[in-house]
Formats: sequence, C-alpha cells, structure tokens
Amino acid sequence: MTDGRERILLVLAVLASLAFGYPVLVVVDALAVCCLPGLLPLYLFLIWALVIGLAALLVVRRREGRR
Amino acid sequence: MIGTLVALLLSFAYLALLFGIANYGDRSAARGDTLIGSPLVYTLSLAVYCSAWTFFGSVGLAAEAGVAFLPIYLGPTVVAVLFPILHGKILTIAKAYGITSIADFIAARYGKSSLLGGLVTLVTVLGTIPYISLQLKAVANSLDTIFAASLDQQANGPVPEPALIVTLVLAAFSILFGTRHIDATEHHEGMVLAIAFESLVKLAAFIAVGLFVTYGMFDGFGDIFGRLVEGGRGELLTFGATGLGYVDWVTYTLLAALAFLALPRQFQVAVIENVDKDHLRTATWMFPLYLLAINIFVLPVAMAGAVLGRGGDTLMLDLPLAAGSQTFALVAYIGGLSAATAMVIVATIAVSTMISNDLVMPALLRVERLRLGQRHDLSALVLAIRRAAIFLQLLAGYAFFRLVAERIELVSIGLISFAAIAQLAPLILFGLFWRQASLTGALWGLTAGFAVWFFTLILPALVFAGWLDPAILEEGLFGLSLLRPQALFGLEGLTPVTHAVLWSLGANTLLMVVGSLATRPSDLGRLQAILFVDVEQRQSSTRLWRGETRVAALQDLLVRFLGRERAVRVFAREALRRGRSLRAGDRADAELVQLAERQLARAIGATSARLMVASIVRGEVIGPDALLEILDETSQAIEYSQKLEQKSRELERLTDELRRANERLRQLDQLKDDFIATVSHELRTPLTSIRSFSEILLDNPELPAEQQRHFVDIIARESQRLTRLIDDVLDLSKIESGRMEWEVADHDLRRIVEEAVGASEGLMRESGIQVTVEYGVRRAPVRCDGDRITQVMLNLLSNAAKFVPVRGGRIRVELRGLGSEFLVRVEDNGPGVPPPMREAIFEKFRQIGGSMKDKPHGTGLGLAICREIVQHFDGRIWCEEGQLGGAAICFTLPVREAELRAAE
Repeated sequence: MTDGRERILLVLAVLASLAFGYPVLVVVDALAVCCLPGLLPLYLFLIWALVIGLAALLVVRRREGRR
Repeated sequence: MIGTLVALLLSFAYLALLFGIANYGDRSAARGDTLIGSPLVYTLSLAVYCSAWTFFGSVGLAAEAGVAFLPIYLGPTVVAVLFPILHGKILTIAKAYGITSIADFIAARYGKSSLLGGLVTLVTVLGTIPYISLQLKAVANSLDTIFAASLDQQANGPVPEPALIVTLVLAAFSILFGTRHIDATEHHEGMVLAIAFESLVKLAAFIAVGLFVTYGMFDGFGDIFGRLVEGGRGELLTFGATGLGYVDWVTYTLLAALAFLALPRQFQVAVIENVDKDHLRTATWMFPLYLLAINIFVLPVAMAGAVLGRGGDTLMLDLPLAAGSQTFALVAYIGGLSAATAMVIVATIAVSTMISNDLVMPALLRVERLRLGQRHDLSALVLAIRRAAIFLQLLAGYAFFRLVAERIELVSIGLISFAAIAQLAPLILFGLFWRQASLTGALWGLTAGFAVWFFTLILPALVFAGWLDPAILEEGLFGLSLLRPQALFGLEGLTPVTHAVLWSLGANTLLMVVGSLATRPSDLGRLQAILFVDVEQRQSSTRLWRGETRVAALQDLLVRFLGRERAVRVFAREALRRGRSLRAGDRADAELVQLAERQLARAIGATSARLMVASIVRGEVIGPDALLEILDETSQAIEYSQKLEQKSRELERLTDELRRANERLRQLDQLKDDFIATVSHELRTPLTSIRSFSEILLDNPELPAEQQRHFVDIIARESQRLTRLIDDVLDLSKIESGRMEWEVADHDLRRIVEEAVGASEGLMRESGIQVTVEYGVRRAPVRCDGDRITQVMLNLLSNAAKFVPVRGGRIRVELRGLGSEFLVRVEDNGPGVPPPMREAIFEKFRQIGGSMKDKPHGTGLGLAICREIVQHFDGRIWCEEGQLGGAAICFTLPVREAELRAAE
C-alpha cells in the first residue's frame, strides 16, 4: 500500500469517527427531535454506507493502479 | 407445533452439516486443494465477530434503547478502514516470525517474555469465558422460548440442561477441527470453511426473519415506523432513548474498535488463518458491508416488537412465534445457533493455543524435575494440553452462565468481555508503532488495566449475582467512598461500562507510557522492538544466535516437538535450498538455529521455542555484541543517510559559492575590458593632438613663429598630460597588485596639509581662488607614507580647483580630530556631486558629467588612487555635501598607536 493511499484511508477513518460520534450526532438528533423522527438511524446507516463505499473506491482503485 | 426435541434434532443436524463442511475442507487441504483461498471466504470468516450477541442481543437492546446497539459495529467499521495499515503490519510480523496467537504476538514484541505471555493469556481467558457463557445463554434461552411455546411439551417432556448438551457438542467440534496439527500457524482450513459457512447462515437467517417481520407481519419499514410514531413511541428512534450520554456513545465505539483489534478469535481468523495478505483489501470494505447488512433489520424487528408491546433478548423468536410461523422461528433459532457456535469454536481454539503455548508449556519447561526437555515426543503432550484447554474453557463458560450470567442481559455480558479484551489494545498499538514501548510498561499497564476492570465491572456483577454484599457498591472498598466500584474517585453520571473503560484504559495507557519511559528495556526487548516496529525494513534477521550447537541436536529438538516426519522434511528442504547436505556432526550456523527456532515457534510459541533452543545451544544466546551489531546496522543506515544529506547540503552551498565567484569573475573581466578601453581612449586623445599639431608644424615650416610657439606649447602640455596619465595608471596598477613600495614612517598630518596647501598656493593665486585652512588640532601624529598622503592632498586640492567657478572660487580645508582618527576635509563652492554619484567618483575613469564629450579635467584616476592610498593606511574616504555649496571630499587616518596608548 502506498503511503499516499494509507494517508487517505487514515483520513477517512478519522472523518468516519467524527461523523459517527460527538458532536455531529447532537445536531442530527436535535433535527430528529424537532421535526424528522427516524432521522438519527437513517443518518447513521447512510454515513455507514458512504464510508464503506469510499473505502471500496480507495482499495479497488489501488488494485487497478498496480496492474 | 414444534417441540424442543425437534429444535434439538435440528441443532444436531446443523452441527453435523458443519462437521461435514469442516471435514471436506480439511480433506481438500490435505490433497493440496485449498478452499479458503478467496477473499470472500476470508471476509466471511472475519464475520465471526457477529455472535449471538448480534443475533439476539442487538434486537433486544434496540427494542428498549433504539440505536444504542450501533457503536458495537461502528467501531469495527472504522478499524476495518484501517485494515491495510494496521492488520497489514500485524500480518507481515506474524508471518515473518511465526506468531501463533495474540498472546504470542504481544510476548514476542516485548522481548519474548513468558511472564507477559502468561498474563495476556490469563486476561484473555478471563475475558473470553463470560463471552462463551453469553453464547451458551443465548442458545439455552432460545431453546427455552421454543420449549415454552410448544404445546406438546407433555408428550416429549422437557430436555434436561439443553445448554450443557450444546456445550459438550461444541467442545467435541472444537477439539476435532481445532487441534489436528501441532503447528498452530498451519491453517485450520476445515474450521475456516465452516465458520465462513456459518456467517452466511446467520446473515441469511437474520435477513429472512427481518423480511418476514417487516413484510409478512407488517407492511414494510414505513408501516412499522409509522405505527411506532402513531403509538406515541417515536422517541425510541432518538438519541434520548439510548439512555447513553455522548461520552458513553463515543466510549462504546472506541471500546468496540479496540476489542475488535484484540479479540483472540478475530486475531485467529484475521491473522493466523490468513492465506493471502491481499485479502485484507477486499475485507476493508466487504467486512463493514457485512456488518451493515446484518444490522439492517435490527431496528425494524425491534420496533415491530415495540409496536406489539414485546421486547427482550428472544424477540427474534418471539415475533415469528406470535405470528404463528414455526418455520421462521426455527430459522431464527438456527441463525442464532450458528452465530453462537462460530464464536465458541474459534475463540476456544485460539485461546487453547495461547493456554498451551504461553501459559502451560513455558511453565512445564521451567520445571526441572519433569525433564521435559529430554522427552522424546512432546507433540502429543502439546495437543493434549490444547484439547483439555478447550474443554475446560467451555465448562467454565457453562459454569459462569449457570452461576452469574443467567441474571444479566446478553449485552452487559458482552460489554464486560469487551472491556477486558480491550486492555490488550494499548500493548498491541504501542508495540506496533512505538519502539520505546517496553516490557515494564506493558506489564504495568496490563496489570493496572485488568485490576481496574475487575474492580469496576466484575465486582458489581458478582454483587448483582448475589455473591457479594451490596454494601460495597454504596460505601466503597474498606468503607472508602472514593473506592466505590461504580463511582471510582467520585466519577459519576456515566454508565458502568463507560466508567470502567475510561478508568481501566486510562490507567493502562498511562502506566504503559510511564513504565516505558522510566525503564530501559533488556537487550532482547530492544531488538524485538526494532524487529516489530521496523518490520518492513528488516524481514530477515540472522545472526541472532551466537552460541554453538550441532545439526543433530537441532534435528532432535524438532523431532521431539514436530514429530520425525516433519522435522526430517524441514531439514531436507533446507538442505535442498542450500544445495548441500546437512551432516549430523556439522556445526549448526546461526541461520539454521534461527530456522529451527522459527519452526518450533510455530508449534509451541515464541517464548517456549526460545527456551528450548537456548537449552541446547551452548554459550551466549544473544549477547550485547550481537544485539549491538544489529542496532549498529540501523544506526549506521541512519547516520549514512544523515551524512548524505549533509554532503548534499554542502554541495549545494559550494555550488552557490561557485556561482557567486563566477559572477564576480565575469564582473572583473568586464571591468578589465572597460579599463583597457578607457585607458586606450584616454591615451589616444592627447596622442591625437600631439600627432596632428606635429604634422601641421612639419607640413607648414613657414608658419608664423607665434603660431608655431602656440602649437609646440600644446604639444608639450599634451605630452605632460600623457606622462601624468601613464604615471597614474602605473601607480594604480602598482597599488592594486601590491607591488607599491611604501615608505612608512611617523608623520604629522598637520605638516603634510600645510605643505600641500603651500605647494598649491601658486596655482590657486593664478586662478584667483581663495583658500582658507582651519586646524582643529595642533599636532596630528599618524603613521603613513608622507609622500603618498601629500599626493592625496595635492590631488584633492587640484581636483577642487578644477570645479570652482572661474570667478570667486573658494576652497576650504579643515583638519580636526575625530575620536581615534584625524579627519581632513577639502571642500569647494563648485557645482557639487549629486548623491547617487558620490560613491562612483572613486571608481577609475569616472568623472562628474562623465560623458566623453566634455573635455576631461584630469586623468580620471586621481580619486581612485587617493582611495587606494587612504585605505592602505586604514583610513576612509568619502564624498559629502560641503558647507560652501559644493562637494566636500573627506578622508581620515587613524591616530598613531603609540599616541593613543599614551592618551590612555
């Protein structure tokens, strides 16, 4: 794995940790409580899927690059 | 209606299928046909993470606390993104050094310490047993649920202790497929295949039940959530329902991430069973995708339960049963069973390897009386220890379930286990990336973390199970309120798990760092640290063994642990590689000893292997010399690169200097060209006059005498000018080349000035110039060449005379002291020198108005010569604005040193 890709994966992991936790959740939950019931789980699952998609994009691209 | 018996029969049928698959996998592997060589199988085997906790516990938790189940999957998702970095490095290390388990990994990193290996094993065992009991409890609960729902219980009669039966069957499976070979690094292909299959089964079962509940019992996601909101329970989907604070949420995510990294079963499937490092890349995204998929229906099923007023850990079974579907209840049961069995099988196999290699064998090998080192075949003993370990773990799990866990929720048991296992994470992470992390730090950190874990989580659990006096929770240990297990040092307002995790991991990390910084690791510890942290740079490390032994002794050692067949194979392969036979009586070289140690490590772990090899290698095992040699290599490489860097910087600097020198040379060359051009020009002007007037005189002998006289006069003047010019050029070149002979003596500068003014008096009077002289000192003792300084004075005076107006010309000369110097100032009332030109007039052939059209007043070298002379005697010369409106040329000469000393 090249250093550059490793760094991007590291950044992705940090961003994912932030998106999954405090303080982003406070905002999402406030929105959910006031007007959009069900937003919190929807948000968490969507971000989860997004992180998986980005991770896939990174490692799959890398494999193509190696050929 | 289904009966417990049916469910039990189905369980056995399922386990039999599992046996079949594992058997098929092992047989294929024996034929050299691997079935686990695909990234998909690898990813599915990683999904052993999803145990009965996921299958039953998540839904039970979600029905009461909404999204509170999610951190347990979000943490590992973040770790999975880091697979290529974290696990990539761990895999490289494990493969290079024949690592057999997480305890082996940690022990090897911190100097192959058997104490640490034993401690890690102990923590792991104590952390795994509650987890095993969690699985047994889940299976027993689901059997109970089915039993309670069956109408024909009278006909079949209740089955006594179904959990015990499941326990025994699982023990048999693990022993059969987990302890086939002595080589713990060899892949358990059958087991991995069975685990991958189980992951498919539990995923399919969860999704099937989820679809049934969502679309069979309800009208889809919208219907469930709509009815939930209508029923006034919409708040179940908000953060408030989780009962967690944000600190708890973040802590749970971190806890899950760290536990995922350190769980022995995850280490087993992710590292030990990995056949191709490249599989990690696929797992980076496919494993979190699996987690996402298995969790998609958690909320719908849980919310459906909430809508119907149901909850608890058996919701997955309750809902299909309530809807009258036995089939889906059985599907859920099988899914839960597969999740539970997979976890139990892998965990017990992994932990049994640790118990044999890091706890029991090192202890036995140290007991002299047993003389194990001399026994002929130890492989049977190792296998027997592992089998016993598997059996005992399951039995302990069952006991824990019966005695404690029956009264606690699945999720709580799971979190207690996680918190114990997470104590290993700092050792792994610091060990991977911090070279200074030492054995002392590891021992301190792990001990502290584990002690705090026990105090903050296990003590309360024992209280709840009715084993301890509840007073300890309220009053604290020894009646000290600071030592309350769930509010240590007054930290309150967190969930018990968050409280425990923050304290235990905090203590662990702190002591790890402090211990590592405070002590110096052993030589072997430092070496291992380098081998682990810099594994990418140094894969092969020979020369670790310095002692002496024979080939035969090594072979005997391998035979004892690996069996004759494998030992012979190892040596034959090595002989083939070297292209020469290894004779029994030969001295074994370092490389061969290393090979033997690695082979042994694969069977009995790094610590024991080291002990065994040390027992037959005479002399120094790894001395400071050998170690330093290796460290030297590293430091030499660093030093070399630093030197290289320095050289390159130096080179850069030299290039720069060279460029500047070159630039200067080019300037000088230009100056020389200019000088020659100017001198030639200056010479030609008078020469041309002389030639033309001589020719006129020659061609016209009859010219009137008066005119002839005039022409001859011009010729004489121009000749004088020519001579002066040549004298000046010669003077200047002499001074510049350092060939000038100076006649240095003590002089009075006042006398020089007086003489110079006197000498030029005639010229001044002729031109009608009024000269005033002011002396600020009576004597001005200097050390110089008097004639040269007189030359400077005359030059300045004649220069001034050239520029004053034709009528009313005035020149003022001043001499005064200026600190340790004397200043001479010659100013005139001429047109002055504009500031930008004041420096330039001291250059050669630079005259004011400097264009060639004006008739030059002098040679253009006078001031240049003056500057050279003054500077030769450490003086300064410059031009400034004069008080008479014209220019003032000033120069200084230092006061004679003897004079200065006298003054002091």
